[in-house]
Amino acid sequence: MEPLAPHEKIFVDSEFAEDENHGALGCHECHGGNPKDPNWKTAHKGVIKDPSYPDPSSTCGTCHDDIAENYETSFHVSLAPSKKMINMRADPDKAVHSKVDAARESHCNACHSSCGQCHISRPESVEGGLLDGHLFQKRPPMQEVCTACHGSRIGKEYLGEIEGVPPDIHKQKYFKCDKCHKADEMHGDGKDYANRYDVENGPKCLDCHKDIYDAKSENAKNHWIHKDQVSCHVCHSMPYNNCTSCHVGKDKQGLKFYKIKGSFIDFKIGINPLRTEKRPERFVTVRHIPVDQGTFKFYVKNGLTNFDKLPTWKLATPHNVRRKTPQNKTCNACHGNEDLFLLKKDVKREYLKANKDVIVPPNLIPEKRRDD
Amino acid sequence: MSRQGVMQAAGNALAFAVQDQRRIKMKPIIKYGASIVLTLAVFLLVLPARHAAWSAQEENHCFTCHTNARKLIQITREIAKARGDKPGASAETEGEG
Repeated sequence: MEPLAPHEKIFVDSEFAEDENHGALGCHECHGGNPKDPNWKTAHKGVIKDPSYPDPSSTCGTCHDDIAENYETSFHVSLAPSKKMINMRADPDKAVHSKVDAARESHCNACHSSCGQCHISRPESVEGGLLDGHLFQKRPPMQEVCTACHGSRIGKEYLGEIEGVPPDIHKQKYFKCDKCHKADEMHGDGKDYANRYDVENGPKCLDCHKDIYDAKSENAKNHWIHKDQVSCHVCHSMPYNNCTSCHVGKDKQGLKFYKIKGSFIDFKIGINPLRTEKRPERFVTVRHIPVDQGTFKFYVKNGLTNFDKLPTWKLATPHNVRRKTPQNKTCNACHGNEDLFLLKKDVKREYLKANKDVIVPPNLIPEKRRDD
Repeated sequence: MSRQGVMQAAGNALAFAVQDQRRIKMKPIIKYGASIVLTLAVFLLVLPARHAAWSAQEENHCFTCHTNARKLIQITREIAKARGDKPGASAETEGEG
């Protein structure tokens, strides 16, 4: 994504006045400030850069009330699952817990979004800047908004920026994010979900690929054999990015930083850590996430004493789906192929306990087939 | 339909009405009444549209300044100069976010 020059970030296209809905409002009605003051320094007193965060009810919500009423339950605003996961890992002692909470709020929660930071500007976490001169974007542009934040994992995978790995087949069919991720999913529906996979109106491969189990379908037999055993991604994902050991802190000037020790491209099949009726598959693709026992140690010692309560290899839906992948080339490309499975030897010693339920025991690796 | 479209449609309706009046012999009172009603309708359609388009710009220094790239370059340079060499983000950040 091309960075914007400082003046480009705040340039307003005069065409905005022709917007029959939003152009009818005075700038100050949403942003505050004094439009009659010709001195820009004093005119900006009290100006709110993003009037839709943290509460859009008096701006966007005055017309889009049906969307704004669920605003707080949108993961893009609340980042609720991340908060829940950190809380589960945090030390129960109130003083320690509150320090972890403050650090999480300051670092992890800085990557939130809002109505404005998807539909009017680039998100603040990527330095903001108006999209198309403040002309409202019904569908946020993929690379300036979606993959600007979801870049190192989803963006790189989807756009084919991992060396030697082709882009997602849906990208080659010119799909933008909103083809699968609809507004209802993005905006929240008022429910407090534990994680994004539980969101009712989230995308499902079967929404489009309805006929994979039909007798006439080319691979119906294979799809039936593997139904509820493996997730779609186990057969159809390419290798993807994994991150490890994120540490956050502040430098000598008081500026926040993060350090990710390393990221690596890999493909691992693990035991489904979130197995439910909706996700009955035993095997899923798992991705290593950046959390570490010492993530918040700059702020508090032993902040995550319950670290082992959750795995560091998480259920993943990599965005580099292909019809043909190395692991679905033949039966034995996967069956009996230990390299594809998350084994004890693949997990760092200090993370073994946390990942005990995700690691695939050798006896569960499907045996090599003789008839392949 | 966009506001421009509505205005065009109203204009067309007026033109047709005038042509109709020429073709059909109407009582003068109906003829004048119809003209007044149509003129009023067009006026009512045009007025709010123009008002809406003007709202963001009328006597509004926000709008005049933020739509002027030259002014914005000058101001953002001024801000950067005042800020000096103060970095916006920590140089200690490492790795992919």
